[in-house]
Amino acid sequence: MECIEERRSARLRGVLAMVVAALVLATAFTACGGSNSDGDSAGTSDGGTIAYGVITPFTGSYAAYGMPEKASVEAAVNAVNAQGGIKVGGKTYKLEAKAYDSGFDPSKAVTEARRAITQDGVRYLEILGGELIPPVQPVAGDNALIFGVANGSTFLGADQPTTFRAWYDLPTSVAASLRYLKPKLGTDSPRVVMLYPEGARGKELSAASGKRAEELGYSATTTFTDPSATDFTAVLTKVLGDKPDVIDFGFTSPSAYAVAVKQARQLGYKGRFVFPDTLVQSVLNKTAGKGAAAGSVTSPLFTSFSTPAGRKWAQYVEDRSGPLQGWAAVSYDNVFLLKAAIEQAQSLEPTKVAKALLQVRLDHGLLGQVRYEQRPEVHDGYTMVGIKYPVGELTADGRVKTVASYVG
Amino acid sequence: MEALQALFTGLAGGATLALVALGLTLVFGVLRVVNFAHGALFMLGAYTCYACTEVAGIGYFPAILVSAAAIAAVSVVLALVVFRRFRGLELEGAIAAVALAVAIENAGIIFFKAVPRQVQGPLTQVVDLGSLHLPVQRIFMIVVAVALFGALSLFVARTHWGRALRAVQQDEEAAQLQGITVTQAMIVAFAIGGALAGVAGALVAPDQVLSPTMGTTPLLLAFVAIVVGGMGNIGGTLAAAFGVGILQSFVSTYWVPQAATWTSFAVVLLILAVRSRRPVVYA
Repeated sequence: MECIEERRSARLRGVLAMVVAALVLATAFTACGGSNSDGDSAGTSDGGTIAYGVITPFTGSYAAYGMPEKASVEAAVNAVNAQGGIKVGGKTYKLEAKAYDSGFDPSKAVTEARRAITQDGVRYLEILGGELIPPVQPVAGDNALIFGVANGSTFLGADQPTTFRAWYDLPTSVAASLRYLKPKLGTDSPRVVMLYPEGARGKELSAASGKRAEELGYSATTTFTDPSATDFTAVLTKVLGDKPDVIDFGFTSPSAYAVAVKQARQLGYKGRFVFPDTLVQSVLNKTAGKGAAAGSVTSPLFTSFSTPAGRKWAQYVEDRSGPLQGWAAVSYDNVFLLKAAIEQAQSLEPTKVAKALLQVRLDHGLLGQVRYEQRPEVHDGYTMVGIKYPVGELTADGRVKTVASYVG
Repeated sequence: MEALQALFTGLAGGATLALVALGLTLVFGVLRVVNFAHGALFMLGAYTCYACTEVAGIGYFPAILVSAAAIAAVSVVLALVVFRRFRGLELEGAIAAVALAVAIENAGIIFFKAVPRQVQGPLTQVVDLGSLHLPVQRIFMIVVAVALFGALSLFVARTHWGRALRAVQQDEEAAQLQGITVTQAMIVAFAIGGALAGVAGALVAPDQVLSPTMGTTPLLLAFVAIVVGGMGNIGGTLAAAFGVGILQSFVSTYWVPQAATWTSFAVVLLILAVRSRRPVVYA
């Protein structure tokens, strides 16, 4: 009997060893695949290197945002280094971009942020996704300045002096689209359904967007979706029961809204869609078909850059990440604002750079004249301002044309 | 009409679930191992369909067959290399299955880059019956699931290997005395289970976005269907899978989508509470 027990115990130990080995292997695989480093180390610098960490999704349903952002930051870093780097205290520093895969998962973002700060010496972090910033803030503390390339504002404020939001304001984007659409809907009180991912950010942004919609004369209701959902038929059955004129996707991921558009059309929805968190046309056209969202609108639509720097940037990003995602321009301008702030502060200390960031502005950024500013009417934190909200309308052949522009 | 739409959506969801659950319960019946890696096989089925249609350029219907064959082969390899060692060892087998599921999912993230993929299916039409809209792809899913259930039922009831599976499920030693090779029965069970998972993955591929983690929720809901329908009970599992699909759809339509999954588990807890009249004996 003991012998059987011993054999059983030995087998169980063997199994556990296999499990541990498999998990270690899997973790190692993920770590290998999840991060990389792409800095421009060419040239010399007497001060060394300043690392700019980009925590963004290269995997998961928001992966379509990661590659353009990484490419855009690389383009900015290359441009900064080509212009002579960053000068602090008589020394010249090269800028280096380091990319980390968040998978749009808060726990993974925390792990990557810790790795960036403690192992890679990163003191300036760009994080994509409002849900990911609050858990990273305690890790960053005063040791790293955070550029939130994100929606939402609850992670900003006086108690977070080193967190900045480098993003357009989603409710303003929604308002720009709805303002353009209203005369075309043929009713005085059109209905808009806001289909937003569930979570703190979804609640905050749907409330703010709903308020803006009602100010414009819309009747607004909100339905929250599971952020990991891949099938929206049941939710859409409920939503379409309200007979909406417009469905606003908020910050729903491109792969999710593409499926939702396809399924909404299958369920007989004839109305329009609003894509206020930028439109990834390639995903929409591939999944739902060209013309499936004809007449729908997106804002802000950053696809046309007329300046030489803009054209060069667009080409660089397109070559490396496929179709241009205009919002990645925000990341590009962000890097130049950081350079200006470090040189203004003459220090690499994140707290001093944060203060200097409020004193500098970029006159010829990709998005025009941009700067960070406190906007008490929106929230009490620091956000990038000066961004216009061009509205693009989707055509039957799956393209987008600029039809209006509003200033947020 | 909204209720009919929700019912149809639920039937389509239940059809996929049924195929996953049937394979899962078949494997458990023979090996007494809960195969947590079955959701990963479903995911691999969808990606095989993607590789066939979008990369290799073959048609969608042949791609379904390729997915079935490929995932059946993968499933048999897993059976022979891993699960064979854990026959009758429920705990150890389950742990090994969890490890496999994690490893396959992470391999998927590396190999497929975890970027959402789409499959262009040929069944893009919608049958409109007034305000009831029935996408043909979803009708196809229901028809295939019911047809495969019928074929599986006939296989289990009428064929030598079907009877062998039932014999091993009921009494392994007695089956061996009757000349049935348990390893061969296991291979058959895993091959069928894998093929069903492959077909299920290929069926949802044109209707959803593919990601390496897409097998997690169907696996969890398949467990619900199996518990409700009875582990090893093919007919009960099918009925329960459709029931779970319909429940999910109605909760999402008439309440909130976030409650869909947990209400299914609440039903399971309720059923387990009612069913477990026998005291648990710890040995």
